[in-house]
Amino acid sequence: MHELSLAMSLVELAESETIRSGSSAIISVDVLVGRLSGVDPEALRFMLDLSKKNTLLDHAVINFELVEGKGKCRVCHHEFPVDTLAPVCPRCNEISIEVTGGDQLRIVSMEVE
Amino acid sequence: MCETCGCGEPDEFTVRTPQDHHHDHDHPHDHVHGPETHTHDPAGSQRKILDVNKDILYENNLAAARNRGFFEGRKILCFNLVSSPGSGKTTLLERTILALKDEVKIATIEGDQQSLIDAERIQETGTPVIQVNTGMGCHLDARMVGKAMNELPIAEHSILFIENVGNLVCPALFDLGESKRILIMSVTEGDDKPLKYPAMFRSAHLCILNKTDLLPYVSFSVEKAIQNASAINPALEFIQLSATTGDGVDAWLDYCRKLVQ
Repeated sequence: MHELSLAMSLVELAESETIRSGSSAIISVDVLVGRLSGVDPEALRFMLDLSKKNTLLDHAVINFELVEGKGKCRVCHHEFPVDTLAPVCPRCNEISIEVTGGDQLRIVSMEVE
Repeated sequence: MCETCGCGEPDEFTVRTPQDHHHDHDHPHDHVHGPETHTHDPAGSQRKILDVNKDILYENNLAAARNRGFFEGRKILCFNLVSSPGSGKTTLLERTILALKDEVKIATIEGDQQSLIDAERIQETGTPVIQVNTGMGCHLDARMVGKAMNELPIAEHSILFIENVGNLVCPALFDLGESKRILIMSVTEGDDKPLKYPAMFRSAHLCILNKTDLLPYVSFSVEKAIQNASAINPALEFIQLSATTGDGVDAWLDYCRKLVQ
């Protein structure tokens, strides 16, 4: 359900960046969605389609780049890909893992005019 | 749909005191509506790439930073209480406020989808309280807290409790500007909770294990719960208590007292 909040935040951020740059239309937006960000990309896409109506994003292309999660075992220091915030070390079975990547949710860049 | 500007926004949130049954519907967003509201200047316009590189929650984080600055400037200790619904947040708050209110000024922001029920309970303690109703929303955000703060008398050198909407999923992402995030988990919920909701446990500073008086009747393992939560967040501190019997509550009160200094 918070994908709606996030979609609205994304629209607001995209619009304010566009206006700040002196432009008036958004052609495309590149968004980084980490697998561990707590966001479901499909749900976000759906909510974006609703939220962008009658905004500067209405006809823009929104590109999602999905980023895989990375973790590092706090005991044996093994680094490995993770797809959950509660991973288990494949080498030593330890549950204390530091998430080192894949939890971001950001607008990377936009093409405007 | 928003009545003021016709955009596709969901119902806006409301901020009111327990006696206040009339509320203003406010629209704090400045919303721009498509190219037709702008004069287009073909000579001046050209395509360009903006290097944005900002978190999608940039606006919330900014509002949270403003709140945080306000709190730090006035030496206000702000706690964001998060949990599943029914973990005992409000009961613990009632007990905490009654125990501390003669030592330090206290104010509360209550968050729920609907109703003034929790705000009315806190009002019984004789301390100021504001109810934020999120409508369809599932979490408080920094903007709502900022708006609530405008209506609430918060003294310097005081404690502000924010009781978030009961939800272990969404509030994890939204910084409110709090000093500490307090996660309340009850022993009736299952010691594997931290593994199921890691984002929330990762974001918290203190985990209160509530309803310890019920331990003889449930299969909850305190040791396993602490182990699971610590695996997700090694810096997490723990206090075990019962908000109904008062057992263990002193440790929580001392935690608050130490931070107020």
